[in-house]
Amino acid sequence: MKEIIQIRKLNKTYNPDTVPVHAVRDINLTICEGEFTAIVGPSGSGKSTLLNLLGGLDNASSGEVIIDNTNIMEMDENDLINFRLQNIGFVFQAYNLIPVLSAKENVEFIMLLQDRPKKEREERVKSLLTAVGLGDRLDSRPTELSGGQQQRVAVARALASKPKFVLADEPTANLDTQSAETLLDIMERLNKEEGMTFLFSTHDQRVVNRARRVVNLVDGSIESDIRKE
Amino acid sequence: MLPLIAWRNIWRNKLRSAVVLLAIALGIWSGIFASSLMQGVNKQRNDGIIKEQISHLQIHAPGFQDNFEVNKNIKNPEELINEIEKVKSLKAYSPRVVSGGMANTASSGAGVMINGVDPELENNTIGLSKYLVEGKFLEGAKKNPILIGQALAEKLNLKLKKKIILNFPDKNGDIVAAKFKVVGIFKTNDSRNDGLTVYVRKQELANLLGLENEIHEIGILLEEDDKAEVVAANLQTKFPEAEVKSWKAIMPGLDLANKVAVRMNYLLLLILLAAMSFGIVNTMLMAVLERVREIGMLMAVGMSRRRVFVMIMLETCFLMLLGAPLGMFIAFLSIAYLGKYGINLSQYGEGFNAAGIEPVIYPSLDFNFYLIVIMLVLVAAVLSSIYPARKAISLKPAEAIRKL
Repeated sequence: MKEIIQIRKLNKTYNPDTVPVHAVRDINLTICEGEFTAIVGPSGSGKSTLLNLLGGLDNASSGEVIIDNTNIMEMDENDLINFRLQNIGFVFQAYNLIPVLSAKENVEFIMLLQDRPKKEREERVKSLLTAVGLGDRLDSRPTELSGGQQQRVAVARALASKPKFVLADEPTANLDTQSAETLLDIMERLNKEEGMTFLFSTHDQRVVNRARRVVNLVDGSIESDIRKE
Repeated sequence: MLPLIAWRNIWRNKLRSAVVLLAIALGIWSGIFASSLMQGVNKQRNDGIIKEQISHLQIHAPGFQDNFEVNKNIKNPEELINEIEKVKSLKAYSPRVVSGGMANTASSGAGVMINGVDPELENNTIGLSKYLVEGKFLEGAKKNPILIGQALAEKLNLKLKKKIILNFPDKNGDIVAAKFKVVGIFKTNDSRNDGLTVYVRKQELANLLGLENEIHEIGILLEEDDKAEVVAANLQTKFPEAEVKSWKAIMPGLDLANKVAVRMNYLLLLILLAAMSFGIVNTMLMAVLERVREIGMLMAVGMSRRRVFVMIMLETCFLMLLGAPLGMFIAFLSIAYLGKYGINLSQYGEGFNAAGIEPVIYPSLDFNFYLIVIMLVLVAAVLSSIYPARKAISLKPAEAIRKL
């Protein structure tokens, strides 16, 4: 399988000059296309920091994050924003939809940032929201949707830009069991049927159970990296 | 979609936006309305002085106004008057014989400017008959009728049909004393002028001064104020031996007051806009700080800082561009209504009269002022959006997303 993310000797230290906190230590990791990976570990183990570094939302203290042959740690902020737009889909724990836009507009918004043509946008919005089971809620605002539904819109939004992979930071943390299972079903299906690469940070056992690869972080270092058959 | 998001964002907190809009509208209204009051007062004062006292143009012999010397006069003015009658924007004109002198009664005396006028021409030019409070305009006496102001009448304790002695130098420098009968008393909006100026018949004053076909002054009223300079220049070219002055040259203070008033209006507006801008900066800053996580998310998923900046700027501009036209519309309506019916401040009438202003104020405003307000509002909107927008783009996505 094609390697789409290569992490080499990645370190992140907060407050290096005062009270250093080593959130990520010497991590080496390769993520291949089509993987469904969960990064697990207790609170403070560095899961979210690692995901932020992978998504180019934060700067590493040292090391490389190579996505599609580009070391994103060397990019400036403006290039990074555009890189994220074109290559990475994000799903956040608190959904983070734009509250003044409808479900349809929230998904379309990303494609507008990419300057995609109107026809393509309309078709893709409809197909994505149908794929996440919200084909009948296109015009609903986030406040009119349940938490699970909002997170499904967030997944559709993450996929709208046709990213190389999706980073999901604790995507089920705020959801009830039923909503979490539905969401995971959808993401699993998208992974299996469309080959979309998902990378989760989570301590939700439901996600761990579904993941085909589990990377366990302890104190910022990889303690285990298990691929399930 | 940015304008759509910005538009919807401003209605997320309807009450706050409504309060801000109302504050902007009130600020703009008060700025424009105060300016219209100032301009209205100024216009009335201008109109009063030009149309009731000095006229748009005055023609004298050179140096006459320095000391009102009888012999500094315009001889054989027919040719000049013929030329004046050809002026396209001419409304009225009045040739005058003028002398400075003393007005005496048995009990008192006062310095006066004696205007010898043709009653009909003078009335067409300065419209004095509408300010008559008693008597008639130089009618009601076969010989030497005089029209005096109420302020002078009170000062000299004069009543209608009473006699008054005027003393003034004739063309030989001899002091002439002549008895006049008060046939009318006027009261204009300028009590100072009412206490100083008297009107007699031109020919009678000319006879007393020893003049034949000479006059001292021609007052010319035009249809429009701003034609005065051009007409003055034309007449001056044709009659270089005369001294032709427009109202701006006759009373430089009047023109200066107009210019100062215009600048004061802009200054007032700038102060109000600056105050409003601080309010808007504060509101938008709150709006940004309430949406830190959302803005962080926008940047995380790929919205460029430029677009975030534009979004916040649009929100600020929408607030301004909604509130300002509302304020301008209310101002337009109030000025239109009060410009027609006036604001009656008669209870402070004495003070207004002393300043030469009518106590009923009619607000008025040039259309250009509205255009300038629009431009200033746009500038204020853009400037007041800069700080909140910069605050928004300075957020770090990873940190912002974690904010509660």
